[in-house]
Amino acid sequence: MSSIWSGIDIPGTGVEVDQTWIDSIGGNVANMNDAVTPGQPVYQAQYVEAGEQVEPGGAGAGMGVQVNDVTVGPASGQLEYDPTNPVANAQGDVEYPVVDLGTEMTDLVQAQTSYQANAEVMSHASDAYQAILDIKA
Amino acid sequence: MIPAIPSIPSVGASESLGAAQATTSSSAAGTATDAASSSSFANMLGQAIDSLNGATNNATNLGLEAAAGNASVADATVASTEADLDTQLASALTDKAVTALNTIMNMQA
Repeated sequence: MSSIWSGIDIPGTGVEVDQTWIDSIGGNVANMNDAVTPGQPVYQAQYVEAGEQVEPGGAGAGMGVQVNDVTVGPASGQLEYDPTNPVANAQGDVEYPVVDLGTEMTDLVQAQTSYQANAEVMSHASDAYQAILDIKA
Repeated sequence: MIPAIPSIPSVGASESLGAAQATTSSSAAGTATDAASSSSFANMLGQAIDSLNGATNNATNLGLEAAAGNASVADATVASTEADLDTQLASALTDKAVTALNTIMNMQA
């Protein structure tokens, strides 16, 4: 990504990563209450791992960000005693995914702020480019 | 789409070449030096139009893809902003080049 408008491209990669982050948080919150019979595969929370983009010979100021990996939470959920639940086992237990709503919400605030920050950088870079282009001899 | 892009810059380059030569011949008697400079100016302009065309096509496609739900809105926004800036840059460079050419022509007259 070696465009002359790198000031727009770079925050663009940030927005892309933040979008993935928000998507993963949305998935975690949406699947928070997926109860299964203990022993069955339970939803595993998804966490985005971001890292600096590596470009060959791209040393210098300004590198984009990319999603390096999406790691998943624990495969075994937390047991809750709920004998009336249709998916409860013989002991009356059901298994819920390990998703902490508080953590997800604080992550969401962070992701949203980061998204807005990247959009702001993009907007200001665009204004700066406009300023140099507005120079008329 | 990809075969169409190389054909358009050649049209743009030839048009700009013709336009540049017309400007040269109308403002002053064309010499060999004028022909050479107008040709390189036409090439530069042709390349600018080529890249501008690619950028605007890309922005249009990404906008359509985003509207259809196949591309991210961020990508479409980035592409359209860059296409806008590309257009302004091409316009600014063309204006500057024409101004420079006119300055030289006025000096000769």
